[in-house]
Amino acid sequence: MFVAGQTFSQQNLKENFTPLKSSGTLPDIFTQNIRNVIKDDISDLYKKKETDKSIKQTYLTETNYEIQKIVKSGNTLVNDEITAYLNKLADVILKDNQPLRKQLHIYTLKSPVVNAYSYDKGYIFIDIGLIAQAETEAQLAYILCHEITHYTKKHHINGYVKNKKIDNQNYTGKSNNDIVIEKCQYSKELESEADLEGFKLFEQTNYNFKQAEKAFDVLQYAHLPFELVEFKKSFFETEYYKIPDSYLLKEVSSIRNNSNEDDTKLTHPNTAKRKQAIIDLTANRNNAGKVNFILDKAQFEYVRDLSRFELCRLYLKNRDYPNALYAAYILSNKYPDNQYLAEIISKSLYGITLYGMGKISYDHDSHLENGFPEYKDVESYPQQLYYLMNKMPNNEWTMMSLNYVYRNHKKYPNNKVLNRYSDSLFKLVNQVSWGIIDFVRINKKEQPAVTETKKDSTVVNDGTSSKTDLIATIQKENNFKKYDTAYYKEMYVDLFMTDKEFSGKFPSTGVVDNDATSGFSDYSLKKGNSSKKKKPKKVGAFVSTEAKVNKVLLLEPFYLKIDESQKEEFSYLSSDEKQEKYAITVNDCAQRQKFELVTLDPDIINANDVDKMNDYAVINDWFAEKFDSDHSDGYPILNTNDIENIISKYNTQYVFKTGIVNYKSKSGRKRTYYYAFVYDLKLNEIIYKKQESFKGKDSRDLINAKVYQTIYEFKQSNK
Amino acid sequence: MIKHIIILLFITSSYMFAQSSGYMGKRLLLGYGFNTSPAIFGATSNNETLIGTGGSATTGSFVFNTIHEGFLEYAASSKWMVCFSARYYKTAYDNGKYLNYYDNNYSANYLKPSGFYNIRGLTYSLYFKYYGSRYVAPWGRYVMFGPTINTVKTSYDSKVMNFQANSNNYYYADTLMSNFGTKEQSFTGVNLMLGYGRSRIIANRVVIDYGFNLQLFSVFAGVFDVLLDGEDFSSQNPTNLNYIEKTYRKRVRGINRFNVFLKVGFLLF
Repeated sequence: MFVAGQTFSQQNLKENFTPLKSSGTLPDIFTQNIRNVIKDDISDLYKKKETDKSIKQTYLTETNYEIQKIVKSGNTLVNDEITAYLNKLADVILKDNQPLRKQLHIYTLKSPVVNAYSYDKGYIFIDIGLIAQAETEAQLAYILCHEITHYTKKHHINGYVKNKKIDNQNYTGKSNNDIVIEKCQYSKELESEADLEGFKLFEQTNYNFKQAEKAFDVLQYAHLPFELVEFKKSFFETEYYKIPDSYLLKEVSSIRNNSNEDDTKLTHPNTAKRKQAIIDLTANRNNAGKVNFILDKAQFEYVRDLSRFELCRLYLKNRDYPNALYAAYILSNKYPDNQYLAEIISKSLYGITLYGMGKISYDHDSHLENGFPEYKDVESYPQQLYYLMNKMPNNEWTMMSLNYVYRNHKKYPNNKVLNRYSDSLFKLVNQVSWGIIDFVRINKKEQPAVTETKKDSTVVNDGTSSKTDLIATIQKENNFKKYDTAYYKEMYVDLFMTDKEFSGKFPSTGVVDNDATSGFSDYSLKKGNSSKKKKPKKVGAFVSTEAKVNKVLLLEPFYLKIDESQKEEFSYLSSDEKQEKYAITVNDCAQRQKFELVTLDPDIINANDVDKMNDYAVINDWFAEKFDSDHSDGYPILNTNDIENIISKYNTQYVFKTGIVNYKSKSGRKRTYYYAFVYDLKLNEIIYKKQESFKGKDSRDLINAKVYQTIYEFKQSNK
Repeated sequence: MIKHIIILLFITSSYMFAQSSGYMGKRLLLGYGFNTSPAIFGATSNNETLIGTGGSATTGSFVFNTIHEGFLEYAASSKWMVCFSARYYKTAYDNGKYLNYYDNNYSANYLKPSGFYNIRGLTYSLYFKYYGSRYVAPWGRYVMFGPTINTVKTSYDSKVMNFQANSNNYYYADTLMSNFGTKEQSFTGVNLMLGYGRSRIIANRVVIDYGFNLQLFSVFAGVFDVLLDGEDFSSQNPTNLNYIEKTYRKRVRGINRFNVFLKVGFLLF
């Protein structure tokens, strides 16, 4: 819960940004035993005179688990600057209703989505994406009022009961479509009630009514960046590098207005209707003296900027590089010397380069399942960026990226991240068959001769002269003015001539290096050719023969029981109990074998374990990004730099994920699935993979035998 | 022989020690097993077995062969177990085969001796269990195989087992004869054991193992046992002195041919 009066030292966003983390004491929801909570809730339910108790009992079980899942996902921020601010906002709104205020638990959710959620037990979650889009404190306050109303009117549980009843009805003559429409209709009624009742709460404050209307505009245009800033190619240009105008659109598309879209099958009324309802309400009300900011404008803007900085990282986590790039580009206008933004842009450029090379594709579950959108499908200024990505050949994009990243590396020489990505791009240059020779002026009219010149030049370089000497010689030999060059030829001239590090790292031959993998200097696993050496034998389910696992970080052991023969297919309570025991089993097996294993499980933490929660969040973000791509092995995870701290803090680069799924079919047939994976955080690879299925129940001997054997194989890898 | 088997077992175990995880670190299993099979062929005993009562083909009662087993098994790797077992059974051969007898004074042709003779068998096996791909020895499903040595001791009571010999001349009256060689006779044979089973583990210590096993040569020989069940080919009939030698195998094959088993073992360390 929010600690009143908590103060935070503000980040200096002009220079840098540190990704948001939780702090202080963890609230009860993190530490309480969920089974007891559910038991108590159900017991309370049956003490009251309520209808639909059976459905509500299921609701209480499911919702408690859902809330716990959100809270312990690592995405929920606790006692951070944004959450503290949102709670202050709630204090303002409910300054005359302390009993209600005390029932609310407001948290920030690290999600780029523009949304907020309210649960029956007073838990309200606000997405970072929404805060980043808000224009005023009053808009946020109205959205909070809307969510508080959902809670006070018990919309969540009522919606659940209604949907269950609709599902249980006899649908003679009704199609699935009719059912969806019926459910959406009820949902829309609840949303409209939350809009109107929320406004009543809002009008009790001194906030400007108009901002409630404007809040719907924010929602309407949530698909656009948080600010509409023209994309200027000059951002990537230097004195010697000018991007051709032909790579940019003369005019970007207009913003489509679909506020009045058909909402028959939507859970919310369309924004035009919602906005109109508020306009109707406020028509005859006096708005005089009402303000956009009660707390403090500067504080709002600071919190919003924090959200926007964090949003950049969240885009990277989703491998949404164009959006990350654009968001960082917008912020760069305000914070031109912020290192974090330089990192985000560098990583985005690198990500787009990999995407262009076909080295990154997206998983079916990813929101970018079909890849980056076509520029035609993008509205307004961001369309320029998508057009540039579309028009610029990949090798040119790689060079442009290197140009930006390397110069920022020089600007911030102590920034290891920029240094690493700069090196990585040098390696990628190897894969686009360009070398120094391509950046020497050549005569278009003498194309055949150029090829020869290239060869000659390469031959001339007998290793005695440096690359910069070579360039100088070639340039001297040719008449500078005669040569009509490609636009990028002079891109690196200043660097070649003056920067030894650059010319030293830049590939000289232009020969494609097929062995180059990700190009990520610190992440290269494949070293040298050791074909003569006897290959070590693969141990158990290890994918690699080279991994030596001497310690692992056990990440939240998983257990799920599914029983299709039951009304409630997912056995939450028994799964939770089994999960707890499973964590003990894994630890026991490690202990028996004297194998070092550290458990990082949000289900086994106490109130002071906020650091553990933060570590868990970092690793979870790492996994979220990793699994967003179909084949990401070997390629770096871009959203977090903290993974190195985790590796050094826990003194291991190996994360162990394991779980059991027990399934019982309608006919009573049972199957048990066991999985165990080990990921190498440093190399970004899966190094151990075991997935097995057994007929029958999830007996103790099965679990013990499999887990013990898995850890035994870890130990064997060291021999 | 037993000594050699045990030495071999431990040498193999020590060599493979490093590759084994066992069940929760425990690799050595000591236990008792109960093998049984319906006595369909050649179980014509009217004597008692160690547990339960043997029936008689003549009475038509349905009986089960029973074998008791002590075993020591060692998880040499995650997939292999090296095992040693000794199986003991006690049964009888209900004399069903005809014999021929002839000397200067007496003769008997095509005669069945009365009663039965006792058989006690001890079978030693050095066998290997191979666990399926997803299983970890000593837990899970497995196949097993290995050589066995069947040692058999027979004994007879001349009051029970005898036959009527006819006099060859009028000086002598017909007489009861009960000379079937020495009272106790020992025999040894080899066989090849195959089996399939599944072991479950309770409380991290007790292993419940169930499945079936068979002795391969006995299975093939069983075909002939069925074909020759009448045993009325006079040319093959034994004499009184080799009667036991010629008949004991059928009963031994019958009891070892195919058995289902239930074993209880304790994981020692």
